[in-house]
Amino acid sequence: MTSFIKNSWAYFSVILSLIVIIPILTIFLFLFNTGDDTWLHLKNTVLTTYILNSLILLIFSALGTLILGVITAWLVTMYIFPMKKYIEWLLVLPLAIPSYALAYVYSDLLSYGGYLILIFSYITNYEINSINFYSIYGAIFVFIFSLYPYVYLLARQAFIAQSGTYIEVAKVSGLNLLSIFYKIAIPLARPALVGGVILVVMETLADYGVADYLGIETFTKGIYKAWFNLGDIVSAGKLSIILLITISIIISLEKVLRGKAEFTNNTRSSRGYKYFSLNRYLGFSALIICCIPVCIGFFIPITTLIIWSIKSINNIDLYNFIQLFISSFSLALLAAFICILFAILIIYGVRTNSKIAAPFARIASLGYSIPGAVAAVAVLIPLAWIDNIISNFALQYFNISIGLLLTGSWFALLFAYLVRFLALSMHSVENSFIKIPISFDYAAKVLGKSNSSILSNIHARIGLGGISLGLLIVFVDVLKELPATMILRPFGLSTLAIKAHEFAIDERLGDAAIPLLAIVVVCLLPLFILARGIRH
Amino acid sequence: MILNRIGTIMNKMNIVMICILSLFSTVNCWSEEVNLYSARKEHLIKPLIALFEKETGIKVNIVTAKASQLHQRILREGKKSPADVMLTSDAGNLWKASKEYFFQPINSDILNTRIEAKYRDKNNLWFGLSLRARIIVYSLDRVKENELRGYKFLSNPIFNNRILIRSSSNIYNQSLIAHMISKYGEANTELWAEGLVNNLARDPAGGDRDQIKAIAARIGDIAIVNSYYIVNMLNSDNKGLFDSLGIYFPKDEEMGTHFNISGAGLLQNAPNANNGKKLIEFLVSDKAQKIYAHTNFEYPVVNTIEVPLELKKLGSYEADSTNVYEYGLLSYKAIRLADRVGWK
Repeated sequence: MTSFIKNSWAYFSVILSLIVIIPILTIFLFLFNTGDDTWLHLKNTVLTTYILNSLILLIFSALGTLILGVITAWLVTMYIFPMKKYIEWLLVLPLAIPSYALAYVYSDLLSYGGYLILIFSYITNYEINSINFYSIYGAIFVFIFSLYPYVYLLARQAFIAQSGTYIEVAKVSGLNLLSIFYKIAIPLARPALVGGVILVVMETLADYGVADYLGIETFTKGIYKAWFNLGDIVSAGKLSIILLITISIIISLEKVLRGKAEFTNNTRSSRGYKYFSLNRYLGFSALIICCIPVCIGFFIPITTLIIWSIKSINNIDLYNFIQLFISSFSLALLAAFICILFAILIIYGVRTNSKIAAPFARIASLGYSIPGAVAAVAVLIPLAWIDNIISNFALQYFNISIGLLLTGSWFALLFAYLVRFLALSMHSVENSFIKIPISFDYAAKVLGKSNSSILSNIHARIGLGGISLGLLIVFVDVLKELPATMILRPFGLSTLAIKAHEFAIDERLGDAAIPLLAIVVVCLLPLFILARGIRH
Repeated sequence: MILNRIGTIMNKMNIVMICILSLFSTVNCWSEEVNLYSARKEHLIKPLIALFEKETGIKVNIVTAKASQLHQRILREGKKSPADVMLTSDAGNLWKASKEYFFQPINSDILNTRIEAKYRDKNNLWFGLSLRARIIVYSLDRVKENELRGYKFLSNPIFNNRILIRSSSNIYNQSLIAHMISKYGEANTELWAEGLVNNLARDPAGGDRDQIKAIAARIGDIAIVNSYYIVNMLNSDNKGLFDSLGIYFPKDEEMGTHFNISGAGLLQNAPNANNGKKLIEFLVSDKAQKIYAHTNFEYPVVNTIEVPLELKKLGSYEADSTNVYEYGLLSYKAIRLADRVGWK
């Protein structure tokens, strides 16, 4: 009993994790249904293609985002170059544009008569009709330029948090900046970089929107096909579990490689890096390098969306649009707060006793790699079960018919978001807590502080950066979310993302542009705050 | 004393309970309502719904999602599902829903007399409401009209490297393949699909509009697309493309033009079954059918309705006689067949 009280935080963390794990476990239940020969059919025909395509997508998106994110983060952290003040936060902005929107925009711009094609043939005088963006290269392109900000944000935060002392020591020892970069800064930032790349990998694997629009046969599309088109829940379950196991292997591999290394910053000097100025040419090239992802990931798509919106401005129903705006915003905000609360409590529990709580927290974070529609149904199954129990109970003892309370309400939707996006908030909270030396906790304990006061007075304050980062990332992601919202939403609730999607699959991109633009605008506000935040 | 306190606590609990319940409940001030699960996109059904609400005073609550997603939701919600009517944009998904016993039959003279038998379920479980044709757009310069001889002829080697069509994961292609299976049998259709895949100008990519654009970009000569998208393109900036393009309704000795329906069924446990029936009957009324034709540019399912000029311009056609029920029945076979022949 005493040990239970002593570890109450850890157990509490386990309970919270379990809430999220239940729907993930539900997927395993799929296997107990009676299946047919769909699995055999998939294995004999398309499964290899699905796996190969997913692997290619995953590897290149991970590499691309890593390179792009780290280089840009390093440049803006270490050097002074023209416009740097703006570039710093402009680099975050592609996060505001849903990756499926990037796919819509570029496939249109590169199709017959698209602006980019016209400009290209005008400049080069080279006769070209169209570029086929509906390919795996197109998908890799989309993922790299829409997801690199995850790596950029986490890398930048890590670089800033590294003490300037290391650099000074390294300089005295005769290392040049390049070797400092890969011998000191990168290894020290590893947890953050890996965290960022894992987010990218999970997002890529769980994606349906981009792959569907561009016609790429990915693993997730296989799950949808087995389940929704061929009606075989067993094959869908098998495929989902393979996906989950792959992700867990990737994550645990990193944990094993990391070994016992610690990444807390124990030096007392809180001096950050000193900036290095670049000469004119180098400064200019740094500017160009940083501008490329900003242009491709933000300015080109946003301009296109604005042009499309102007063309279709007459079709808009303002009242309906404001409703959409408000419901999307409040839904995302609510979900973000719930996720971050769970993340803080779970991660702190892990910190007090990692042996008990850590494994559960790891499993809970797998939800991010589950495709949205699968997560939605996985949430529906236990909720419908509970609902039926409540409903029967009410009917039996109070003789009132209450129908389904939880399914088909905001509750189900928010629960699904929690399952899907908890990992996002957990990663950023973990990254900021990991840098708080454990000696702080001990010192506070010696002074007789309780765990809850340590959490609210020390971790919540020092880790505020990571907490707000997690909050904002979840907010932005919920705003862009599609499949789970579609399956679980209650009557009368629609979101900007759903509206945009409905127009887009009806091949009316012009009409889709206005809601898409609204998503971008809503996302921009928190991103501005975020961008300001990381500078301090 | 203690009992009193428990009493007050219970009172407070009651208030809290009422608050929580009211938070979840979907009750509102309209006295009559009907709950609609729709796989049609909201912008396509909105004018119809608005007219229905105005005429009957019945409030329509809508959730839209893909048909397969709605299917899962109804399945999981079970007997207590609040849904009254399910609306889909193809016959296959209606068939799948009826196979899971989602629907109850509607005995309605209105529905049975206004809708042709091939566009509704023989047990009155679901009903077609509007039609879209899967037809051919071709380059006038590069294709002679007498070269086009129905769907089956598209696998002929003379079309090598010239045909454009979207992915087989699209429901309209699945229905077309299912339709072919019902006409020619599975083995023959597989041979046909193999030939078609060999004739493709590029790997299937993009939507129907992209296929048409690809003809203009000289990637291929012949595109298989939905009538609905053609009319939409003719009404947009892309109109100019069609100066050099022809439109053809496929037909040969055995098979007429492939039409798919959008349709609806009344759910087994519908809490507002009467209103649900009213809604479906309303959707085949003259007024509603005109909206389908003139706003959405779909062929009305009631054949006495005048079609708009935009649709007339596409050309005349002869719809095939197959019951659309076959599209659902054969859909699993169709998907697997496409996988086997490598139709992406």
